[in-house]
Amino acid sequence: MWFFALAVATIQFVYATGMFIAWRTGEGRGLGTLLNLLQVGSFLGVAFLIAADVHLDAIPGVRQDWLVRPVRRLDLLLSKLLFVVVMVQGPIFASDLFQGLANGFPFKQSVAAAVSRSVFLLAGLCLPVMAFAALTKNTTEAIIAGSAIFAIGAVLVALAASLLGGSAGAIQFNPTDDTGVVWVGDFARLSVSLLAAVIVLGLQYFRRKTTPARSFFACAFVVYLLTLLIPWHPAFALQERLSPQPGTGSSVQVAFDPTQGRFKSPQGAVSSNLILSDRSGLTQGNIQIHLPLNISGLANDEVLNADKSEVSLTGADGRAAFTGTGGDMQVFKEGAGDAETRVRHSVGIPAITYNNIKDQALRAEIRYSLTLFRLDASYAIPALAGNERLPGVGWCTTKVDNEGDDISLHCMQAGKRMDCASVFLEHTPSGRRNPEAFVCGARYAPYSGKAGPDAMNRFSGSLPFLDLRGLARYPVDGAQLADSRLVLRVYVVQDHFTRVLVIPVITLKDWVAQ
Amino acid sequence: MIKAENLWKRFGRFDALQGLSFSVPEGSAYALIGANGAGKTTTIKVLMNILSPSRGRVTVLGADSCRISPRELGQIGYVSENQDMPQRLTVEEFLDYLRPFYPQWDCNLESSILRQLRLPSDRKIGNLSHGMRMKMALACALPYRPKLLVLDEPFSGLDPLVRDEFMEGLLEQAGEMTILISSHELSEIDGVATHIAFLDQGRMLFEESMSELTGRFREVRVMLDGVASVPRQLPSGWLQMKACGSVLTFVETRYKEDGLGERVRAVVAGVCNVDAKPMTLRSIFTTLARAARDAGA
Repeated sequence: MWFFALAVATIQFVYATGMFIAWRTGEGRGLGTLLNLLQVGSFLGVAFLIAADVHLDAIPGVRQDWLVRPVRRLDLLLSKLLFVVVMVQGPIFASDLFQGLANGFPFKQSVAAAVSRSVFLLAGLCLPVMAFAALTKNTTEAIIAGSAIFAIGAVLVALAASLLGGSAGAIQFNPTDDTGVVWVGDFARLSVSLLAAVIVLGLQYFRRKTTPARSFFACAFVVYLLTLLIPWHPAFALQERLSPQPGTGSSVQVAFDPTQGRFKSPQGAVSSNLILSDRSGLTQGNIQIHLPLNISGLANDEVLNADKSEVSLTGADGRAAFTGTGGDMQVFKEGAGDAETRVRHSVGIPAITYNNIKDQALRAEIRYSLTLFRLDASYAIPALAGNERLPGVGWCTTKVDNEGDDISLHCMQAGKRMDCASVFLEHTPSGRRNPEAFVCGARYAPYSGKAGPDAMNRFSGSLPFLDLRGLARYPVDGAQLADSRLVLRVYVVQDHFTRVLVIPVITLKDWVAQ
Repeated sequence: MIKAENLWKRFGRFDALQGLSFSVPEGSAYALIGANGAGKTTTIKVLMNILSPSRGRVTVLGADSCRISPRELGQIGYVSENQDMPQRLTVEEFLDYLRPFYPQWDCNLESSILRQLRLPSDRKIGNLSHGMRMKMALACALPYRPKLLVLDEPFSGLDPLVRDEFMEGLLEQAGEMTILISSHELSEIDGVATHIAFLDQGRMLFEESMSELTGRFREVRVMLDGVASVPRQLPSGWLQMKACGSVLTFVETRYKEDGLGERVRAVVAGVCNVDAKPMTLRSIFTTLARAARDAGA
């Protein structure tokens, strides 16, 4: 047992050391694979170690020696918890702390990051594994039951993803995934796991009611899977209620602006106010409709991010012609700009559907779930071999990527990461800029902390300065990199709100790119 | 010391215990006997709170078995063939582990028991033979001088030598403790038990003191002056009557020294001689088991 605990602790430290080296040296493919293996090994090691500890005094069964000893059930449970905290979480905490300190973060910040991850691991992994182990007699039984549950879960999730994944109906599969609201589902799953673990441990250690406990665990597992179907609207409504500065987005309006004319495919770089990208799955066999929009009510140095846009097109007969989601949309207002910002919002429509309805006069209704950010801080870092510690952002480095066409920005922070940032490449002497990238994927969670492989938060972005196909030419190119810098503008969340844009009559063919 | 009232235990559709009631007096050596599957182990597991009863209740050392606390468990020694001790620990390590749980643990007694039972303290429990493990269980149950010692089929699978060692170890330390022993090894109980209860298919057929039991059972041999035949109507209490030549044999379950001859003569004609012999516990047990089986059939 002690050897096992030592082995799991060693994996943690090797992983932490590996991550430290990978950051320092630039993660090579071999090291990355090794680290991935170590991560899996660490997870399995933790799970097996906890199970082994619980199975030393198994709950199910009638032959265990401890049942006839003067052992208080509470003491037994506490001893198991103590083992988990000291022998399982202790090394994880220590390796997280080591990583934080080795990477030069202050002691307090490193401790906070390690504690935060430890709490997440306890609630989301260790206690549920303990509870599951308490339902089984030995490791063999746990492996068989665990594999069965994993297989059933995987099949159900795959089935739900294939049936509901592309659905725009009332029930969607994991609609918050890949948005800032993803924490709602994560938190629901964490809560279900923790609650189920507490109840199962209570039933087992204080009542030894294995059959009811197993039934409860099965129900909790179903509820856990159902959290993948949490609808978008209630999730975002919760997010709205948790807005840090509610009402600051009340002046923001979204309007259809046909005067902008038809979208012309950009030659060279796109406008700094126009960042269009498609969510995966929309471009394949899709026709992109570029809707001209006017965004008003943005204050200076604010960014508006569309977390989700639900598009509904209705024919003259009142029948739904298309329902789906629009592409990403970010609207920047840097400094004291115009009162209104003109943008294009792309909506991918399957080619078959498009061909059927492209000439029809349709009614479009787009429900935007929006987040308003305000500028919090602005930093600059050399474009080449930049190595800076930025307050609130962390330790950031820059380098030219392996293809030689992008500047790679890598940042690492101990604990809570920044919400979002816009980054652009600027030639310092001339002030010329390349297009801005929005590095976000922010989790709007009202708590900090994560259960990931370590306590470090890493993010990266690529800023192109050369189009290898030769189609685009960037204002700041490779020759100017030595005199250039990356400007990092850090934004914090202000408000979450929704806007509904109704276009009474629209003909799709008028809004495809020229 | 132990009092069971209308105890039921159901496993699915099978009633392992069916309204069991019995009482174990303080200071007694109470034997639960019965064939395999009679419910002896289930009864013991219920009173140790390893299983919860479906109905009824048991009090052990004054506490409801369902709420038996470490205070009571600290005064109970438990030895069972169905006891999984930590296989990876050595004998010594396990005793080291147990000691702090029992404030009244007597280390000198522990050493003496280990010597007497000849247990290898440095050997892992997983490497002990079945007999050694039973002795180990006994060695773990005696050093804290429990008020109640529960032995569940302690002799099962033990060779005669180990049995003797086990029994010597047990009897030497028994002192004033109350012993509840379940077994179908009747020869081992004979001479140890002061009280006996007979279980059959989850029911208690009888419970009484050993002296009363052995006192009321006699194997009766009746010599007749002619060819013997089994009477159609037998008095209640006469079991297993057989006729062979001019000899009639049966088991008298309500034996009283005076008046046996008259009672026999009242039922059987041509009686020359009546001879009543005390029975061993084994014979009593098999007689009762057969009677119960025949009644069931």
